Amino acid sequence: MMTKAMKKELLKINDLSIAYNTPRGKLHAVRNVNLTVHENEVVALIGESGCGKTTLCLSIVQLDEDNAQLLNGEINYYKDGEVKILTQMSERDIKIIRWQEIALMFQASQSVFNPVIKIKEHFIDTVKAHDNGYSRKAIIDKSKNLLSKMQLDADRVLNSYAHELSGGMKQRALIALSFILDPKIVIFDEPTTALDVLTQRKIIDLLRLIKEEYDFSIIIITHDLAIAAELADKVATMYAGQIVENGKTEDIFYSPSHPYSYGLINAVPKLISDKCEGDLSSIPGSPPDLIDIENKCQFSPRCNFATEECFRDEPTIIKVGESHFVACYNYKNVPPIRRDN
Amino acid sequence: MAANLIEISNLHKKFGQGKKEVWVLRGLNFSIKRKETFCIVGESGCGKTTLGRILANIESYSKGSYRFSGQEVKDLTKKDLRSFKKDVQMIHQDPFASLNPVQTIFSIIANPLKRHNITKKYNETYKEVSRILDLVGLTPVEDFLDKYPHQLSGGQKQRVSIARALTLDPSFMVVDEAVSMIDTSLRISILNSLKELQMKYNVSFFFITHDLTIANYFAKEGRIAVMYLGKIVELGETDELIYNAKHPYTKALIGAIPEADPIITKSKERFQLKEGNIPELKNIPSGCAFNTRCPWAEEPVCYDKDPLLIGSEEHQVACHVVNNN
Amino acid sequence: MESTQYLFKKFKVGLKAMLSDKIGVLGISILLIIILLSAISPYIFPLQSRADPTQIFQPPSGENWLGTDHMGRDIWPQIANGGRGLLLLAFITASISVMIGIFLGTAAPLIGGKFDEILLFFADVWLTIPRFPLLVVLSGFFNLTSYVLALVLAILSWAGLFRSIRAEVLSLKEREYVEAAKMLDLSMIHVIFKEITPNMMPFIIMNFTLMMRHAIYAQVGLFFLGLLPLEVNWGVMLNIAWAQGAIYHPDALWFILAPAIAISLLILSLVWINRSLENLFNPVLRTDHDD
Repeated sequence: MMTKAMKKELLKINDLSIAYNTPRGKLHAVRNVNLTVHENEVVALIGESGCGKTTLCLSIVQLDEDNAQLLNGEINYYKDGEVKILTQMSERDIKIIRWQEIALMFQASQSVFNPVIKIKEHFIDTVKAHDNGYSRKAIIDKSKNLLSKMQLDADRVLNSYAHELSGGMKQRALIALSFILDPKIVIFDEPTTALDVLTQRKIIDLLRLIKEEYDFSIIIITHDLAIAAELADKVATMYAGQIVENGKTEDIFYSPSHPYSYGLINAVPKLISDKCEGDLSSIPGSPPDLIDIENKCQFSPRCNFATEECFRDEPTIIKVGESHFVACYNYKNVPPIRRDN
Repeated sequence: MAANLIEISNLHKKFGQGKKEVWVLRGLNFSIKRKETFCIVGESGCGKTTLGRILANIESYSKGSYRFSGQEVKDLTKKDLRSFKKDVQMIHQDPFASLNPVQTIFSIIANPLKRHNITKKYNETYKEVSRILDLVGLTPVEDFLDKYPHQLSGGQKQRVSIARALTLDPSFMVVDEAVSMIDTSLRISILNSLKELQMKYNVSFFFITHDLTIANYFAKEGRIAVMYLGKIVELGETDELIYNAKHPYTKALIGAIPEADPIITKSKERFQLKEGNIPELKNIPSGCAFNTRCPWAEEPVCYDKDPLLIGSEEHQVACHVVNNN
Repeated sequence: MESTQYLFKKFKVGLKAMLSDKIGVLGISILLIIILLSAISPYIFPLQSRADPTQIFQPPSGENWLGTDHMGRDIWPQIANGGRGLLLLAFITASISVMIGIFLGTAAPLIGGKFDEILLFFADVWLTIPRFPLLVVLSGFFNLTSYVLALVLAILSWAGLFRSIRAEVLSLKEREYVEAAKMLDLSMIHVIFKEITPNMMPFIIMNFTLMMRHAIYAQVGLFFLGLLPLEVNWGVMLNIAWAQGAIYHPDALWFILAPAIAISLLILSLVWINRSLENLFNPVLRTDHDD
């Protein structure tokens, strides 16, 4: 269980704005994002496709596209009392951070494994690429340990080729690979899409287990709210490149303050939860063009709670509760999620 | 006329020949009425997509019977086949792949109308295309007629697919995972459109999905069949199946699905399965195919005999343990 | 017809993208210059037909830009006019063979069964035949004038193109929109011409430029060996220059270099165009993006 003690900050994204240079103009993929990840914390970034969540996470380790440009802001990484400004690092320095301090697992990354080399070579190559002085045997031992934690037959998996493993097994092996260098932060982009229900369940449970055993933080990017509900301590809702709401999971899921969060939660049907089904509805319309950004709340055209000022001026983030932030003029009018009974 | 639109009896399908043959469907029995929503739920490899393709007559079946409107589909004459094609349509999973990138939305809808002489002159066609696009929620229609598929979002493309399927006024639609490649926040609106169409057009749906939550929503007034390794293990009216699930596989699925509700999803009762491997289709164990993972598996019957799907009209289960109590 | 409208739109986008690829621009420019020269040179740079013994193997000068040949004639007009025959022939050959390729390559997989198997077997056997030696032998028996040569070349090269197009059609016919078209009972003609072929256009264009290159190689080879009736073109120039020992005569350098460079430039331009077409058709036009 979480203690009330103040957790130390691990990663702090300050007022970050990133734009892509496209032939049509600058595409503002990330706009004035402020996000803090503490030690031993799971943060979920939720939002529709195109809201900027992947760009945001790629930029943490400078893996965004060549035409991406940092407009302002910075990303700070705190380690051993030192601050490292990730956005200003050279390619050489950020390479050391990648995988060793901050690991990133791409979406549908089951094709990440090279089909012609065995799984164990992947583990060995990854560790050796970071020049740690580990011997081959030490690496294999550590890999075996991690793979067993993922409930895989370590010997069999290490000596297999990628095509000999099922989708679920590959995903678990990849998760083990993300942890091989004991990173402090692991970023998962849609970790359970394309997986079967039972496999997905296994992975969720495993992630929860190792989170309790090891000391690291996770950032999960997902459009599937259920995954966020399962694993996250904090949830940040992204829309049109901005974080529009940010708070503890229970707060967001039971008393959201932003109409978009409210809309997202009510757009997902339930199986056995007691969410009131009368409120189930999709959010009409589609996200705005990120090239010509007008100065108004970007969600207002689709919002049921919009008032005049929403169309005049973009709202700024304000604090509405303990660790609960929202960018909305009408947050007080957003009702809690209704339950049957 | 036949009360049931579709009757499936002892349906089998095999792929491959001789030593390499694999039976992907191993004896299915069910029926679908007119204007009914029938959902098939299962994990990948269970055969649900193959079953959908057989119902749409894109694949043939190896053994057993598939009667559509009283006629055996294998024996349909060329003439009957043409009217079958008008009656049965399919919506594919991938909205990107199901529309021809070099054709406008207008053409995509107009092609079948012209081919089957449903409309003859240009302004008749224009009116009908506009009517159908309006029906599937692509309004204002003028904004879509001249566009190419790559200019539409995933959800809009899927609606075009649905519109195309409606042009021939089918009585049966196979919907193969139509919303799994669409963002979760948009799925409900597409499913709602499909349900509205069912009201207006008297269509039966065969809805294939791996997501029980979606099945529960879409087939609210209908039935759900749970498939495992080529057989139906449980079949029943939706509410009855979800709240009163009897087969251990169904119970495991229901318990395993995460929900968008932190307290419920973390405290939900799980139904633990044994750690066994999922058998490969070419190596199905004798007896009940589920016995490698079933916590209730009993000697000797579960390793000996394949359980039959038995029960009442509202709820049938294929499990020795359940049916013998 | 709107698949042509669509193709035209894509062509504009493609053209823009191609113009940003420097190599592609270079390739197109060279080809255009050669085409232009071929078109205007009969009028602007007419061939000097009379021999002038006093001017044998003169070095380049203000009057003879590339010097003179073994009969004292100006080399430059020969170069300017020498590409025409090659280009025309290459174009005709490519057109015929692409048409054969499309016709057979779409029919075979769509009809399937024995027809497809037989055609495939036939193509495989055909591919084992060495093309150039066969051409040399044929030219010994027949008088291969340009148009006959174009036809012969096209027929000799059908197998490779057939296999490529067949492979492409095999994959396209599995696309879900083709499946949907069949479910809607749309006619076979419609499926071939409206559903499948428009999606193959980039592929066909690339194969077209490839065929042009093969045709040029074959031609130049035959001319160089002296197996084709003489006309004024670069291949013949190479033949004559070689026979006249121009390689040994320092003043005659241009006589053998000029046609060699001209041929190389033509081939190179086609290679560059092909390369930038490849880059073009793979990521840009195949991904979904807004116009």
